[in-house]
Amino acid sequence: MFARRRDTTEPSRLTRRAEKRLIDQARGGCEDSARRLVESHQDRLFAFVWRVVRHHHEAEEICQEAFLRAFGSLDSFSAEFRFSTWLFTIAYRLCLNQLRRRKSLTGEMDFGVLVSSEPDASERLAESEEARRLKDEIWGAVDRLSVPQRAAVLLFYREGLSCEAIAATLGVPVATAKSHLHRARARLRDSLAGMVEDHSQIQSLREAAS
Amino acid sequence: MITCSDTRRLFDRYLDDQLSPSLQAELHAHVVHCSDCQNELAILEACGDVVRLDRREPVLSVSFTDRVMAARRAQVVAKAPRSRRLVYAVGMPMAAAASVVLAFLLSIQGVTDQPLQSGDTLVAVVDTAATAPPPETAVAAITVAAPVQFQQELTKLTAKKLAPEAQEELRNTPEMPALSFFDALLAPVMEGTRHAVEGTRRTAADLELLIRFGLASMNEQLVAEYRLKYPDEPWNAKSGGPRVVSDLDPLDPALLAPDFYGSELSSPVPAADSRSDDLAVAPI
Repeated sequence: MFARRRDTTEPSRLTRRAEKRLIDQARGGCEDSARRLVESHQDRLFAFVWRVVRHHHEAEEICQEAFLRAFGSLDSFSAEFRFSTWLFTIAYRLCLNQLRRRKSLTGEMDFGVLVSSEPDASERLAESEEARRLKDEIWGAVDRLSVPQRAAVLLFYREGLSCEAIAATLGVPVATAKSHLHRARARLRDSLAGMVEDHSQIQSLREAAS
Repeated sequence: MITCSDTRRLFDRYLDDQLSPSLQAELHAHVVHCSDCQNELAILEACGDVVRLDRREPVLSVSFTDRVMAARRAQVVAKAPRSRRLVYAVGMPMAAAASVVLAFLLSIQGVTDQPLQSGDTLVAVVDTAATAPPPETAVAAITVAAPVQFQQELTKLTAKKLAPEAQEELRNTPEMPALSFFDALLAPVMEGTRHAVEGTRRTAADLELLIRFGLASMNEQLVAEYRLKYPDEPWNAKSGGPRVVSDLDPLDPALLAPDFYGSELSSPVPAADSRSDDLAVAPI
């Protein structure tokens, strides 16, 4: 029960040194290095952006724009940050712009109509119906969080960022980032409290998730 | 032994990995015996597990990396100093010529408020494309102009910037036979322009469509002219002339690359004034 896993070391992630070398080479105009930077970040960035805006086409556009803006001002990039943090910061602000624009079109943010999280059929077969239901409930609850709360949850759990890095990415003080995360947990706990009837369901869900 | 309310107050710090070992031990000791707290903590941990491990997001388009790289190349060209652009214009007069023509056509129809600068080539296309309205307006603009006007305006626009030999080369451009005119001049421009504008938002498909449509009608005029002028040219007899794509309907939704527009085709792009939102939260 108490074994918490925050895997921040996916094999595809670049080491800091490799990342710095690629950035230096990309600054010098090396296209291959720029491509490697894109390839090593694009899937994670897209997953984050898609979870925030819940629209495939918009998420791709935002990711492309984020890479272009990052490359466009690579000279001002400080090596004290991770490239990914910088990229996620840009992408998050683009997400906010996009959501604001969408709100101005529709009058309100209605994520319900945009949700199209249909997992692959084989994936669905591989997991039990109960585990799938619980996972969907959890994602549904995550979707109902406010945008900064959702982003904080994604950055903390999926990206393994510290509260300080989350604060930098969201452009808020550390205390605010912590507050987003803590309020998000409280809301998740409240919306999911009635979801499970007994503890064994949670255990089976955790096993299915891993 | 700590109470339930104490324990719950510690959950966040525990989940943030910021709880001291002694308090962690207290928390564990309480949770083992309290099913309510145990369930609450388990729900929170299950949420974390699902967010971390359940990766059922859709996947990026296969072409995503290529699109980003193409847009980046265009970005590099756009950021090049003016002198470099001049070299580019002289080095590729054919492509430069048609780019200026296109930019000119977009500008004369009031498509953009940005005045075209002397010496602007591909960059001018990128800049105007970013503010282009729906494609039908621009298509209409292109189809009304004739090749002779292109050349005159081109010379007028570039005379101050281009070297005399480049001007001479540009002046000679209309003398090319229609087929090679299309292949040598227009096709590279279409390709180059497409790459250039892929960095701008949702205009690449528009622009490609209008270029094809506009150039097709231009091409038809050239075909007619050159059929009369060069009746014995092999291309004339063999293929019946250059590729004519004038049967494209710019309003046909099938041509408006569905992947590009997604489900938003029916909902208009936000008006220009909504762009001011971007300034409020500038990405960089």
